[in-house]
Amino acid sequence: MFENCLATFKLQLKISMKNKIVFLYSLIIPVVLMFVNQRSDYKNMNIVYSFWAYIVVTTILNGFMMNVISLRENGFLKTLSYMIGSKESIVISLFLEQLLLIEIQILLFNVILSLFIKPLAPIVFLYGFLVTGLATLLGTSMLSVLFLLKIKLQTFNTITSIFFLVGIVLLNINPSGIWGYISTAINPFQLVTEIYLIPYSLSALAWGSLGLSFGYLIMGFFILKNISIKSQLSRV
Amino acid sequence: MKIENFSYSYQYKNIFSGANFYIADNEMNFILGENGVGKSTLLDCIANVDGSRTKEFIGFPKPQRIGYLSQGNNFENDLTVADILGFMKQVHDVREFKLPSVIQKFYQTRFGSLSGGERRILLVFINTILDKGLYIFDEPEAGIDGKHAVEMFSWLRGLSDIGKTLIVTTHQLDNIRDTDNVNYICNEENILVGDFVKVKNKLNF
Repeated sequence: MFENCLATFKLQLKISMKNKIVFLYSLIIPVVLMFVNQRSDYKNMNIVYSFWAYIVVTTILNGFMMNVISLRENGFLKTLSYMIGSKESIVISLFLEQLLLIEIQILLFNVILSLFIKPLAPIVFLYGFLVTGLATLLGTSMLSVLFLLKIKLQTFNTITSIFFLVGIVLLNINPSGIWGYISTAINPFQLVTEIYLIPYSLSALAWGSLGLSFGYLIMGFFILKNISIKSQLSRV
Repeated sequence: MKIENFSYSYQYKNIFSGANFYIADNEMNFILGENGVGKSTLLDCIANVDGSRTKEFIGFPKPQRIGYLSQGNNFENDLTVADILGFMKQVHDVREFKLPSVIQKFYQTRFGSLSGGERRILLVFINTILDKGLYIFDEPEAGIDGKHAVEMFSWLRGLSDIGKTLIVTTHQLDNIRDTDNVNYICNEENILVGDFVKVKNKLNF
C-alpha cells in the first residue's frame, strides 16, 4: 500500500504542478489582501490565522475536492482504484499531496509577511506548520459533506468560486456571541481559524470548536471511506 | 467462478432476473449480448464497484486482485504517456514489460492529445501489465482499428497463456476462438453458456 500511495502522491504532485492556477486563489489573494491591510494590527495574530485559514480552506476546495470530483467524473478514479488495488491509497495520497501544498503556501505567506510587514518569530512558523496538519484534516472532513451532492464539475466550480468570495468577505469579520457559535459550526473559514486560536483561549467557543471538530472528523472519515468511485452523472 | 440466480434492477427496470453465469478459470471468457442488456452492469458487480457484489457471486477474487478496464476509463489529460508509464513502474503488482511499438510512437505525447483509439490502446496495455488474479475488459477494442485490435487481443491472449482468468465483453466476434468460454445474454433471465462454437450454433450466428 505504501508503494502505491507514494507513486500516486508523486503523480498527483506532477498534475498539480502543471496546474499552477490553484495558487492564484489560495496564496496570491491572501498576500495581496495582506498588503492592502498593512495598517491592520498584526500584533494580534487573529488576522494572520484568518489568512492561514483562507489558504487551508481554498486549497482543500480547489485542490483535494476538485481533484477527487474531476478524477471521478472523467473515469480516472475508477481506473486508478483498480490499477493500484484500493481507493483508500488514492484518497490518502491526494490528502497528503494537498497538505504538502498547503504547508508550502503557508510557509511562503509567512516569509512574505516577515520580510515586508511584520517579522514573525520562528515559533510562529513552527506553530503554523504543526497546527496546519490538524486544520487541514479538519477542513477536509467538514467539506467532505460536498461529496454527498451529485453535482457536475462545473457546478462544483461555481460553489468553489462562491466560497472564495465569501472567504474574502469573512477574512476581516469575527462574529461574537451566538453568531460566533453559528459561524464556527457552518463556516469552514471560521472553524479553521478557531482551531489556530485554541491555545490562546479555552473559552466556551474553543471547547465548542473542539467538540464540533471531533464530530466533523468522524463524519469525514465515513464519507471518505465510502466515497463512490463511479461517476455520479455519466456511465464510465 | 460462477454467478447463480442473480437478479438486479436499476431505476425500476429489471436488468437480470435469476440469471446464471459461468466463468472458466485461467482462460479467456467472453460476455456477449446486444447493447443495453447489462454487460457493463454485470462487470461492475463482478469487480465489486462501490460494494455492488452480492453473495450470488461465487469464487471471484477480492477487488484488490482484479484489474478492471471499463468503457469510460481515462487518465489526466496533462500527463504524457511517459509520465503514465513511469507511474506504472512505481506501482506494486506490475509485471516486467516491454513497450509495444504502437505505444512507443506516442510515448512523449500528452494523454489529452491522443486519439480515442490511442488512449484505448494505452489503457488496455497498462491493464495487461498488472499482476492480478482476474482481468476484466469492457469492450477493449472500442475505437481501435482492426489491425491494432488484433495486436491488442494478442496481449490479452498472452495473459490467459500464463494462466490468468479474463472476462471480456466485445462486439467483434472475429477475436473469439471456438474454444473460448462464452456467456451470451439473451434477455434478463436467459443466458447461453458454453464454448463459442456451441453458442454460435444455438444462435445461428
